[in-house]
Order: sequence, then C-alpha cells, then structure tokens
Amino acid sequence: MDSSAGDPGDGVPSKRARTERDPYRVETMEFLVLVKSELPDDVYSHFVRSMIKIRRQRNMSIEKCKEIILEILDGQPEAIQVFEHFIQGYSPCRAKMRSKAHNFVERVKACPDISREDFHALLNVLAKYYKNEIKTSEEVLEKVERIIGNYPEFLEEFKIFVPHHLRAHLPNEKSCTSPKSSRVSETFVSFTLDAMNKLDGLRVKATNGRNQATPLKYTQDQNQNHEGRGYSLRHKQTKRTTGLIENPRKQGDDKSPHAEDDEEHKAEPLLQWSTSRENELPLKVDPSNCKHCTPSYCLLPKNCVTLQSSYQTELGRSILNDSLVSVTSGREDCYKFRTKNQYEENMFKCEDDLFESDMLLQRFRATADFIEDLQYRFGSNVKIQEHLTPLHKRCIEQLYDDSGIDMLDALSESENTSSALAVILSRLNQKIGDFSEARLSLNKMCPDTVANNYYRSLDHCSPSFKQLDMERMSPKALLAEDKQISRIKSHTDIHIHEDVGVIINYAYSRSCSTEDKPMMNWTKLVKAFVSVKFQWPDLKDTVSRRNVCEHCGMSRDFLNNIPVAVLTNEFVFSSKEVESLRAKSNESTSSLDHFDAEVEEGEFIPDVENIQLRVRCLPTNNSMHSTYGHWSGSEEHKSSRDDSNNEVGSSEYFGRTSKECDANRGISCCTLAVLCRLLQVMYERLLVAKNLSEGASTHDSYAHFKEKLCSLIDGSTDNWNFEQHCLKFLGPNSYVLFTLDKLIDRVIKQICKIYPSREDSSVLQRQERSRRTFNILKDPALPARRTNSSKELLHHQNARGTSIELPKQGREEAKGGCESHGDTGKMKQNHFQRRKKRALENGPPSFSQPGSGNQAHN
Amino acid sequence: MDPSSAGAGGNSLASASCGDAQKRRVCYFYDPEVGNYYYGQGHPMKPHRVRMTHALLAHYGLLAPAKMEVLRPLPARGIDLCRFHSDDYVAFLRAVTPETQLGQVRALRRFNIGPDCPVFDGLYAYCQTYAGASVGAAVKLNHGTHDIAINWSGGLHHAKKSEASGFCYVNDIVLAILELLKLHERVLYIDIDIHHGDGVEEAFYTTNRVMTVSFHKFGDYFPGTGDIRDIGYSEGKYYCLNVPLDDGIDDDSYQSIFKPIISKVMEMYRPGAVVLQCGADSLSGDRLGCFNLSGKGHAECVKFMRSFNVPLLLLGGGGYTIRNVARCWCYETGVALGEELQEKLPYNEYYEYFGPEYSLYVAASNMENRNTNKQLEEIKCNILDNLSKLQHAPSVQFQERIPETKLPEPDEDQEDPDERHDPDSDMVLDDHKPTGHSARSLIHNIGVKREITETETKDQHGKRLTTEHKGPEPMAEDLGSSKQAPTADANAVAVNAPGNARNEPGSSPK
Repeated sequence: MDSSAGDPGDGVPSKRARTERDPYRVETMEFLVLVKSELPDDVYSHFVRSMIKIRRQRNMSIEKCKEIILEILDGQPEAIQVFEHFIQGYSPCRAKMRSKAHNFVERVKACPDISREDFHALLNVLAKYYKNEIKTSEEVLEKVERIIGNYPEFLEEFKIFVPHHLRAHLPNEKSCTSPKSSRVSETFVSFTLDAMNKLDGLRVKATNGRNQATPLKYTQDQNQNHEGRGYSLRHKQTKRTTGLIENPRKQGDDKSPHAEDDEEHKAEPLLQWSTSRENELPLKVDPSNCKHCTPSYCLLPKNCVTLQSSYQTELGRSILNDSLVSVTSGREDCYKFRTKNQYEENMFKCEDDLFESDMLLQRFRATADFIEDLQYRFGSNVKIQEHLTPLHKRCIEQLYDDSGIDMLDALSESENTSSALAVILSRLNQKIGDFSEARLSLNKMCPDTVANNYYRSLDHCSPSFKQLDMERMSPKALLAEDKQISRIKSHTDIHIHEDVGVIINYAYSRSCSTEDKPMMNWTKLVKAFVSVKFQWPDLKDTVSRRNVCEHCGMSRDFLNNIPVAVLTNEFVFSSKEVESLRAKSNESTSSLDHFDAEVEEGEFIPDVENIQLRVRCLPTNNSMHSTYGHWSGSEEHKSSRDDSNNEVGSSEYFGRTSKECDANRGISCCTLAVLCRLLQVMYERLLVAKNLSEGASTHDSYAHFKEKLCSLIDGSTDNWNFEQHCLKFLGPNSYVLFTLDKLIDRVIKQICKIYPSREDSSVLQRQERSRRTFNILKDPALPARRTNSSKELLHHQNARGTSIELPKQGREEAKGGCESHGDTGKMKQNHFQRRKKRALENGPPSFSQPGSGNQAHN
Repeated sequence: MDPSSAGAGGNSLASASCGDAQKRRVCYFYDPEVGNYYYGQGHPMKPHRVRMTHALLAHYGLLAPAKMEVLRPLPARGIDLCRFHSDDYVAFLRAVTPETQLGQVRALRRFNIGPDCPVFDGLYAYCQTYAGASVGAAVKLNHGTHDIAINWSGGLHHAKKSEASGFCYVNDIVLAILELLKLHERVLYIDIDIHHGDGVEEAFYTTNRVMTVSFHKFGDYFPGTGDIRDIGYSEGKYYCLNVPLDDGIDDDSYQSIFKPIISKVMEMYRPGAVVLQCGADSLSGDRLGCFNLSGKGHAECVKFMRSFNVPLLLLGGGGYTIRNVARCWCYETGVALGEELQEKLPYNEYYEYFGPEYSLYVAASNMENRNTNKQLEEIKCNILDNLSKLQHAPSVQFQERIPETKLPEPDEDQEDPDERHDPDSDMVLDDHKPTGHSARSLIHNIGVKREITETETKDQHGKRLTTEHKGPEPMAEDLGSSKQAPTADANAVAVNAPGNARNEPGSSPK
C-alpha cells in the first residue's frame, strides 16, 4: 500500500471509478488486505513472490496453484479460510465479518444480565438500520449505547463495527473536495470500505435475528415491513429531488454520488424469500379502479402500495416508469387465433417428437459430462449435493424412476460418493445409448412425414378455392362475369394460346378417339375461337345498345364478324346454312335459346320472371312467322311439333316458340360467350403457371407442369399428385391450377354444344371416356388399342366421305323421336344409334332409302 | 484489435455514415447450457431453439474468430436483476422450485406464475443466463469494440417489474437498455415480434430517453395492448409508437410500413444505440403466430437496421416453430456479418428438423393478407403524424460524452500497454486490479486469474469437461472460453477457437 503513494493524483478518480464499477477488484483488494493483516511480514513477502512466479508460469494448473498457496499459508487457519472463500468467489471480508457479527449477537443473547426486552430492542435498532429507517450511524451508536451502555465490554466490541465509519466519514468528504488525495486519505478510503463491510455483516446478522423472533416479534416485523415500504416511496421522492438539485453541479461531482450509491447497493444482501413473505405482499393493482391515460395504460393512485426495488441505480430511478401500468388480456399460449390445416399439425407433431427426443438426450448427456468432470476434479471427497444443479438432479431422479428421490437422498448423505458416481455414470451412459438409438429411428421416420405434409402445410387457400371455382364455372356465373369484364384485353403471350389449343386437343383426343375428322375440326375450332379474341377490340366500335344481348352482353353482330372462311372451311355447315344461321341469330329468339340450353343442363327452373320474358317475345315470333312462310306448308312437321308441346301443356303460341328455338339450338351468342369466357379463364391460369415457374428455382418448371397436366387428363396421375407437384415446383400460390382438369372438362362440353351434329353424341362421348378409362386400367397394351382406333377412324372417314349430308338428316329425325317420348326416349335414342351403326356397316345402299325419304319430306 | 478500431467505435457514437459493404464487428453471446432448460411438455416455448441456431452457425462456419467473437455470458446477479425488477419478485424467482411452489399459491398468483410462465427446474439460473447475456452484449457495445452484439436467448419482452408474463420472467431488454443509457443519451427499441412488446414499453413509457416502436398483431390477441393511440405519457409523450397489424401480412406489405416509419424515426430521434428484438413468431407457419413473413422478409428488417451503422443489439424473442426460428436467426446472423450463406443447409445434428427441402430459407404460405393497402396507408400516416410532433432530437451535445468515454484509456495504457491488444483481457484485468496497491500486487492478481483461466480452458478443450456451476462471480474465468456440448466436435473446435486466439496476445512476453 505504501508504494501506491507514487501514483499520479489525477488518476485517482478514474481508478476509484473503475474499482467501484467492478466487484471482483474490490474483492481482490479485500482479500489482500485480510491476508496481510493475518500473516507475518516474512510470510506475506513470500506469498507475494510466489504470486509473481505463478503468473510467469502460464501453464500451471489450478490444483498446483492452490497447492503452492496453501503450503505458504500452512499454520494460518484464518488466512486459509479467507483464501478458500476468495477462490469460491465470495467476499472474504463479508464472510469473516458475518462470523464475527454472529458471534457478537450470540454472546449478547447468552448474557444473563441482559434482559430479553433489551436484546430485542438491540435487534430492532439493527433491523431499522437495515431498512434505512435509521439513516445515520451516529443514531445507531446512540441507541445501542442506551441499550447496552451498562456493559462496557459489549459496547466496546460493538464499536469495532462503528467507530471506523464515523472517523472515516470526515476525511472522505475532504478527499471529495480535493482533486489530489494524500497518502493518509487513501488509507482512510480503504478503511471506509472495510467499515462498510463490517456493517454489512452486522446487517446480515440482523436479518437472521428476525428469524428467531417470538410470535409477538413476528407481528412487529410485519408492521415494520409495512412502514418500510411506505418509507421506500418517500425515499424515492427524496432521491428524485436530490437528483434535480445535483444536476446543475459539475460532472466530476455528479460522479461521486452515483458511484457511492452503486457501492452501497452492491454491499447490501439480497432479500431472502420465505413462505411467510407471501402473506405480506400487497395485492395487485385493480385496473378497473384506475384512470386510463391511453387505451392500454392506467394511472396508479398516488397512495398505491407496490413492490419496490432497492437496487435501482440513480439512472434507473429517473427513467423507469412506476406511475402507469399496462393492462394485458389473454394468454400467449393460445392456439385459437389461426386456423391450421391438418398437414401443418402433422408437421408440428413431427417436430415435437424430435424436440422431446433431443431434450432427453441432451440433458442426460450434460449430466453425464458433469459427473465425469466431478470425478476428475474432486475424486471421492466431494459433497456432490452442493454441486449438482436442479437440472442434474432431475435427470438422476428420472434415471431411477420411482427410486429417484431415494437415490438423491442417498447421495447427499453418503460420505464416499465415488462409487455411487461411477454407478450413476454407467447408468447415464446406458440411457444415452438408448436415447441415441431412439433418435436414429426418428431420423428415419421423419423425412417421409415431412415430405408428405410440408408442401400442403403451406396451402391454406385451395379447399375454399375449389368450392368457389365450381360455382364460378357455371354458365350463369360465367355470363354474369362476362358482362362485367371489359372486352378490351391485350393477350400478348401467343404461346399460351397455343398451349390452350394443344391441351384441349389432347383432352378431346383422350375423351373420344372413334372419329378422326371431328377431332381435327375441334383443334382448328379452338384455334379459331382463340384468334377471335384478338378481334374483340374491333367489336367495340360496332357495339350499340340495341344490338347487345341482354343476357351475355355480347354483340348480336358477333357471328357476322366471324370470318366466313373460318366457319366455311372448318364446319360441316353449307354456305347456305351459315347464312341462314346468321339471319336467325339476328332475331330476338336468342333469349329463348338460352332457356333451352339451361333446360338441357338441368339447371333451369321456371319462374315468373322467365315466363314474362317468354310473353314479351311473342310479337317477334309473329313477325318471323310471316317472314318465313315456307315453313307453314309442312303440315306434317308442324303437327308432330304440336303434339309434343301439348304434352307439356303449352299453348299454340308457345308451340311456335319452341319450334323456332329448336332450329337455333346449335349455336347462340350466349353459348359462344360461355366458351370464350372459359377459354379466357384457362388462358389466365396457364399464365399464372408460367409466371410461377419463372420464379421457381427448377429449370423449365412450366414444361414439367404441362406434362403433369396431360398426365392428369389422361388419368395416369391423380389430383393429389398433381396438386403436390404444383405446390412443390410452383409454390403455394399455384392453388389456382388445382381445378384445371374440371375447367377443361367444361370447355369440352361447351364445344360440343356449339357443334350441333355432335350434340347427340355427348352421351356417347362420356360412355367412350368411361370405357376408355376402364380399358386403361385393365389393358396394359395401350399402343395396340390405339392402332385399332386408328383403323376404325380410317374406316369411318371413308364411309362418311361418300355421303356427307345424309347422316345429319338421319340424326335430326332421331332427335325428334327422342323428344316425343320423354325418359323412354333415351332408350330409344340408344336403339336408334345402334340401328345407325348397323346401317353404316351395310354400306351406301342402306343410306339411299332414308335419304330419298328425307328429300321427299323436304 | 488495433487502436484505430477503438477510434471507429468512437465514431459510431457520432453516427458516422458507412457503406453497407463495410464489415461490421460482431460479437455473439451464447451459453451452452441454455438449451437444456425445459418449460414443460407441450409448452410452446423451447430454449432448445437457441441451441439449434448455434449448431447451424457452427456448421456454416460463422463462429470462426475471423468472423465474429463468441462469448459465454456471465450470469446476471440478483442485484443486476433488481435494477428493474422488485426485490420480492427476484427473491421469489430465486427460491421457488417445482416442489415448493404448491404451497405458495398466493405468491404464484401475485407474480403471475402459472401455465404461461411455469416453474421449471433451473428457472432462476435460466433467467440469470439470458439476462446476463443481454447485459453483457450491451456492455460490449458501450466499450465500442463491436458494432453489433447478438443474444438469441434474450428478447423476453413481456416481463413486468413485479410479474412474469407471456413466457417471460426477467425483462433482459430493459436491463440492457439501462446499461446502454449509461453511455448514450437516446436509445431506440424496435420490436418485430408478432406480440406487442408491452413490458419494455411500460418500463419506458414516461421517458424521452428511450423510444419504443412495436410492430405487432392487434385485435383479440395477446397481450391485448399496443393500440395505435398508446403514444407515451408525460415526458415520454410521442416517444412510444405502436403499429397494429392484421393477419397474413406478407413481406411487401410489411416493408412498405416498416421502412418508412423507421427511416423517419432514425431521422427525428437520432438514437445513439438501437435494440432490435427479432421475435421469430412473426414468420409464416409459426405455431402461435398468424403473419405470413418469409425468412428473407423478416431478415430485411435486420438488414435495414444494420445499414444505419448505429451500435445495434440483436435479441431473440418469440418463435414457436423451432425449425423456422433456428433458420431465421442463423440467416440474420449472416446478415449482421454481411455473409451470403448458401441455401442448402450443411449437415448437423438437427438436420432432420428441416426436411424435406433442407433449405436455409423459411417459405411463406398462400394465406390471405387481411391488411389492405388502404389500412396500411392510414396507419403509416397516423404514425408519421405523431413523429412530426417530436422535438427534433433533444439538444444535448455529443461532445459532453466524449471526454468521459475516453477518460479511462490513458490510464490503461500507462498501467499495462498490452491491454489494447486484448480488450477482453482488459475486462479480466479490471476485475482484479485493486486500487492503491503496488504494481507488484497488480501483477500478482493478474497472474493468478490468468493462469486459472488458461488452465480451465485447456482442461475443457482436452477432456470436454462440463464446467462446474459455481456462483456468479467465478464465471469471469470462463469469459474467454465459451463452450458447446462435447459430442459436437466441430462445435467444440469452433467455440474454443476464439478463446485460444484471445489467449495468444496475453501470453506474449512484455
């Protein structure tokens, strides 16, 4: 200590600051002071020189270091005790002074001349000092003198704790005012710390003393605690005022009070929890009684009693909020806030299994490592209970199941635990092996589970989307949607158009392969309609209100704008009939056509509104009748129509309307609008797929997607796998593609409506598709079947080439028969189809008879 | 570390502007024991996620001393916890055990210990560990030796002064901010956990020295606080911002509101340090969350805060789908370091959690975004309007702080020239240097502690011994030897490497 006098004066404040900032430095200083006071001078010098040597030998082990030091301190039990405390991280002074304080209080209590009342009064003074009710040491000394003044030996011993503090107080103040401290001042600073620690020891004892209180004393403690808390509030206010006053001071002056405050707090022991403390806690504040300042905060009443912190720094007291509290609601652990799909739940279960397995494995491993460390470092002379953490104890308890607690008790009681540790370690390692094997099993199971559930766990939209999409794809919805959509659209991606055509062609070829020519027509038809959409901007120029159909919003001139070449080249209609269709479509019968279309689909339900529409159409029918008078000459035809209408109870006028609708059933603007809308939707979705594939990391995801879609269409893959592919390679936003197969089905169905000659074969198509699917499942020789289909196609094409018109006439006749017979008509229809087939097989001669009959009829 | 870096630390106080390309000096706090604490079967909070994060960092090679400094934290002492929490609360946490809790129903209710915040083995030690890491990280930032400090085990933002809340017992964020306030006049706290950061906000609700900004799900959701009209009180008025959001918010929507608001905050408030709570329960697919952020979207906030080049403290927080939490925080550690990590995860002992893609990136789902552009625009206008009412940064001169900051340096140089080469050794030296003693005495204590540290380090490395759990004070000896479970050889090597590197300068002859 003498050698430190040479330090520069201006360094003292920073040194002091750093000393006070770091408790380890203080403890080291305390340790050295005690050792020097305990040891003879020569032993102390030897001690210091040994420390220097130890520092120079950097690779010295901890055990050897302790061995050397203990050898030097041999014969000095108190010094050894101080050293042991220091090594374990406790304050040496604190431990020593705690022992002295305890001794002092015990002897005062044991003295027969001091009454119990006086003894309790002494404890009371110390307790009050501890709780800051008595603020100054002078007051403590004064009260103690009054209590035990008659016993000089006790009073003199008590002064060991107090007089240094009193004497050091004045020099300490002096050192604060002086920038340079003298050698003597430093000595006093050191003693001041020593004195504070002595008082600290005394306070600790005072706390312990309360535990010995009588029931009456207990009651007094309660009251005191209550007063203490009240004082704490006042104390806080005083501190704030003090802080305000101190703010204008110089920086250097501000530093000392803050540092001193920290020092004092560090010295005080933490509050010890006891079960009796539970009853003394003030109740939690009831928010409903408090004034709300902002939505989530309420202002605490001024007289509110809340739990306090004795260790807040000056900074903390000035900044932390203790006047408002927030009002929370609910629990963080609550699962109801988000709807999770089952796949997500499966992922969570898998994760939890891995987690629980890992926790067991890691904790047992940590305990085993810890015990190995114990064995290595301490051999058999160790009280294991002192070193085990709660986690280690829990592991050992679980290790022995029902006997776990007994095992822990045995460990704590036994003196020689090395053998027990060896047994426990062996059991732990065995358990670790078991857990490791279980983990390996999980490692094999989990990949399958996560692979099956991960992609779908990211999908929260597709279930509701599928339901909505079915409704959205109905003709009514499509027509309503079409009216609202602006027709001016720019479709810049021609490749998507080609893809739409290719896919529909593929889908159609999968559904029916018995006739080659119709397939070719469908391919070109789709292309035609796709290209028609490019002309929609032109249509707008010619659109007027009078010419717009009230149901689909499409211009009645739509057909007029379709290139004649398209219809002529691709349809079986003759030029004459095309002209006729155009003329008919210009009339107002399109609305009735719409009704009939819905009847066919089983969606139409007659209501007042529809009947009114029919009534409004009557005058137009009359006009048309007069225009096309040539129909009235066919008495036989008209008569048959009337008969069928009578069966449904229609009047003569309705009969006429029905007849005219039949003529236009093959093609109407609404039907075309639905088809265009479906193609539009399909375009949009393929565009989504293409955009998503561009964002995907996999190369050429779009091509793979199209392959997968074709597989779905031909039945080689199912919906689940198709959806899995989309989610995996195109991401969770690809859910809009999940209904593409249904969308394509509707497109095919809609195309069949537009081509009248194929309308009757829609049932046949479905039968063919079902039969084909069945065959795909049963017959692996698919190529062979395709060869047969090809031959059949050639045969039919050749047959049709010689008499293109006659089959159409035959079909019309068959359809008429169907209507007149209701449900049984379907069976008859099948009968007619079978008859037709046989007729075809008989060759041209069989056609001449019905052909000539039809001609005569016309 | 050369003196110029110390100067750079000083510059950060003045918020000097640096390009993003510049490397940040990062320190990372991790305690190997933290993953062993267990809230209970079926409880969503799993400290194990921090251990998983650490394993990913190790196998990506981010724990190399050349990349960042890895530190094992000193557990916070009871006195340190009482800087914010009340005496009785801390005393109760220290004393209560699963066995003794049954007889203390009244106290459990008073301190809100229950299903959300259960009593489990080692509860108090767990609190000491993560709080000590956060405070230690703040101290590192104060020293100016690092630009970014990370503690993924921290970020427990719900804890109140005298009660636990929302899986949180000790509010390490408040303690860390109090530490930062010793040096910085203003500290900014940003919370991107899906839950409102109510504990931190309440603690600083009446002061203008801390600004709290929380982006959270609001409306019939825990903790129920965080109304946009909660703007602070008294001196703290307008220094509290709450950004209420709705289900399904995605990356673009989130950044469209986060970046404008935080840019304005940084301009108006000019904090000396920023604390960013990176709760990962705002990610898509979280067990308790309902947002739809991808891992990259979540990390965009970290990247944005890093670009301001203000001392930055990164803390963990919520996050209950642990396979997503580990990847998110690993990715964000890479962001802090400026490292581009490969998407394919390296094999590690937790590899099976991350199937089937084994990707570093957390994917967003296709759930509906209920935040409309109009709503977000309204919220943004409201927040920016409150910000415009702020005084434009309090008028305290930075110069007043500089002398105090530099004051300790000359003395350290005079007493021991080696200290500049080993800042952590500086901490160790400070621990044991008594005032008023001769230089010889100083050398004695330095030698004693250093030898103990070195010896223990070697023991741990050679024999993979688990460090005995001593009292808080001796943990100073382990400051330079952060430790990992012995079975992970790569981890052991990576974790111990920084300690070895730090010992080299100290062992060089004077």
